[in-house]
Amino acid sequence: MRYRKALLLMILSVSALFLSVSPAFAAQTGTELSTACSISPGETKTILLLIQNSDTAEHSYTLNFANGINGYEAYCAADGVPTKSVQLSAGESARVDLVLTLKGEPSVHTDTVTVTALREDGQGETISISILISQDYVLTISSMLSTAEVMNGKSMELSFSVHNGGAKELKAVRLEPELPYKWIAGNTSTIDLKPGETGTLQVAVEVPASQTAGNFTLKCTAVSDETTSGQISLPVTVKTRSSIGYVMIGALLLAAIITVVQFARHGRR
Amino acid sequence: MMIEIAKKEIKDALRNKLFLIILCLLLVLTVVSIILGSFQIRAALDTYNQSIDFLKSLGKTELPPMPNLNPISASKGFVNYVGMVGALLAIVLGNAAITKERKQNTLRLILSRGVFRDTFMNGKLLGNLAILGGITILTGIITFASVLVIGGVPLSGDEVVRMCLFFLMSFLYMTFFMILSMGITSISAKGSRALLLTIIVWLTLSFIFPQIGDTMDMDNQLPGGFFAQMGMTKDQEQQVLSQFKFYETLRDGIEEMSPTKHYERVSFALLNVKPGFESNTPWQVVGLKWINLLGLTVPSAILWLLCYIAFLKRENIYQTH
Repeated sequence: MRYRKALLLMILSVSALFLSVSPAFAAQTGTELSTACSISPGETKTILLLIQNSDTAEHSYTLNFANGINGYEAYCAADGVPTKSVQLSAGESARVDLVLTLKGEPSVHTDTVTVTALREDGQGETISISILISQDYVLTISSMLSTAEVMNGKSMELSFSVHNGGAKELKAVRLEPELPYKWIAGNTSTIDLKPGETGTLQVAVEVPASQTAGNFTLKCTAVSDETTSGQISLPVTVKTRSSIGYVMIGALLLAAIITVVQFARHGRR
Repeated sequence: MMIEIAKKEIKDALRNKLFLIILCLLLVLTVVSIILGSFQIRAALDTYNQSIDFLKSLGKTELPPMPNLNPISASKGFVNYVGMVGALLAIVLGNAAITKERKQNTLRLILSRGVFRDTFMNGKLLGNLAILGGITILTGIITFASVLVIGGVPLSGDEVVRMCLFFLMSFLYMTFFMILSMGITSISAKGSRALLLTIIVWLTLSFIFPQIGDTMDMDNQLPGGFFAQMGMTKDQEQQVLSQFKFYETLRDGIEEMSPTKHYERVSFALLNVKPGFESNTPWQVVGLKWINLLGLTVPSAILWLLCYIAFLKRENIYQTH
């Protein structure tokens, strides 16, 4: 009986201690055992995080991402929609995806990024995620040209060099251009690249006739079934076709000839 | 004789009340817009200087470079005012050049004194070009002074050339409407009817045609963009666009017929209002935008030649209505 009373007292004490400590945490931020992640350059990975409001009141949590040594592009998404904060009622938990993309060439092969869930009253919790840079699939892209020039209403063929710097073969490497509005990209060829191999891919880009002359930027990414390269930018200068100028000058000459003929026929008045 | 007619044209213009009212309106709008633009530059410069002082007080040695203040963009508002008020001013000037001679019966007198019709027209053109040139130089001086004194930012050599080229484009734009007005008035028997007709042509060229270009753009059919609202992918967008090539060519062709559009395009490129021309020299900008320069000069030249023919062939030249 004495033991049972002591056990009950101990359970009550632990419960009281738990209830008193629990609100002190802004959130219990956990992951689905994904405190580590393997990613290739250019690849996008989704890391699952679990935000839990252990408090007795409703709170809003602002999610902040801090970069590691390598360059990452990251955002948090709830139900597939990018979000910067989550609202949780007392005791509620929510799943948040951290969508992480490794941009450019990595400086280190083992890195750490952090995500902080900061409550509106300033309390918060930070979780560190270890990033292991995978060297299996490394795809890089470079342009064969430093700049390009094209007439409006015409198309141009652009060549890009793609290189497999990883340890495994890359299947169906293709180009994914990002063009200014109304520009049209033709179909690009696909190639397979063995480790260490370099290939060339072309894309035909059609510039609309309505495009006014000026300087534009064309962005391009190489994509394979396994990974994605970093994005490169190519400055493109669009010039106006000479034919329009010839038409205008022709019209002017015609008007000038008619005037001369009129003067010759009727003389000065 | 041509010079004498031109001198008389300048004197007459300075006595034309309607012309003087519109000129005052243009100058006031120009001064206000340029002074406001210069104050914006000044504010941006002060903010930068305060940040530098603060960083220096903290002992920082690595200071951020000065942002591109783009002082020549102070003339951005001037483009719109010349597009409307400047064109109207040129129309009044061109109309008055012919109408007043008819009203005062001086046309018969001048032409009976051994002055050829082409000399008469050339003198009129020369005088009006001098007036428009004077207005352009005056607004140019006001702009340079405002940017320098109020904005407190010295202009680089390239920026000075860009500004000068921009004012040249403004002059060419006003010249087009002055010649258009002179042409319509010289073939029309009634001056007021010619003025009304010229204004209708101006409204069509300056407002309706550019609007056709903008509002009939497929992506402008829904707020937020047609393709984005329809949830189309880039590939689907490209497939749709490839089906509408003729429509796009037609829409673009109508837009190209507007001298206002040509003036805006070349001016915004020169003033760096439109991004993408910052790294170009002023002459490279003109080289890229040569079609807009032709769009401002060739129609004026053609109109002038047609105006010659019409005035030369017309028998009832003294008819007023």
